[in-house]
Amino acid sequence: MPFYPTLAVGVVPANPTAIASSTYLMNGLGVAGANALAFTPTGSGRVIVTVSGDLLADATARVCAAQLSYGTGAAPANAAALAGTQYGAQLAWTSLTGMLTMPFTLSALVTGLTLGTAYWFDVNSKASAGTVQLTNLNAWVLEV
Amino acid sequence: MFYPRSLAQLVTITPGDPTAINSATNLMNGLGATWTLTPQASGRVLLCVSGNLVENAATQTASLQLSYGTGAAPANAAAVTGTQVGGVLSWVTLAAQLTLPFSMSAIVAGLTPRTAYWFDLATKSSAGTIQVTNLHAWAIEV
Repeated sequence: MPFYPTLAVGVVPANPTAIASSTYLMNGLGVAGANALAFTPTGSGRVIVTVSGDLLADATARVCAAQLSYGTGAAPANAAALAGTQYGAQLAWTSLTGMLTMPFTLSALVTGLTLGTAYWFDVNSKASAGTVQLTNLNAWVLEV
Repeated sequence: MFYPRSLAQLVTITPGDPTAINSATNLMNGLGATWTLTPQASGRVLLCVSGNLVENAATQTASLQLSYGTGAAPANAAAVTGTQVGGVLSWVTLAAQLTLPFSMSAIVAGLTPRTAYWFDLATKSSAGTIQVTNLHAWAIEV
């Protein structure tokens, strides 16, 4: 016997513009639109968020990092300053000549969300130099 | 018929970095002290851990796998114990690339309701050390 049925959203966003910053900036995945990574909890207020894709560095020896964020209100645009709550693991990777792409998955269980309030979800990312771009993304939010 | 959502147990942890494992055979990382859950209804648990693998030198083969069990949770560097579940991730380090992001997940079914379970990572390295860092892990009964 399963638990009560859940609500979910799944999106396949277009590749965000590459981030050129050595401090975390937002990628704009939560911005309103057909592929917005946004969700309004209505049942439990706890959600599993997962974003998979590739980290693409522009050159070798870039230390790239990424982490999930979420918040309410207007979703931050691509290259906006860090916003919302950062949550879960901070993934890190150093690019090499001949290896500028690294597949990744970020996943977190977020609890305590307010029922009936719209939340945006996003990935904040940075590169020690040059740029890092999130590509080939697939993302979903599941209320559990 | 459905179980009420309120029965579904869950846990999330953002632990400190476990001490690096220095072993060519699987040892536990000691995450089970806090990564623990007692299912109450379905006995099915979805678990996930994300973070970074950090090796101390090049040309070492690192690997890791999810584990779970009951009773006292194994400490860091304890012998492999419990049940290993899901795929075995493996990776060979390069001189300028000693850190690799990873994420592992699995659904474990058939757990005994009202029995406490610990969850952990078993890791090994063909030489030198392997450390899991910047971890975030969770489990929820589904």
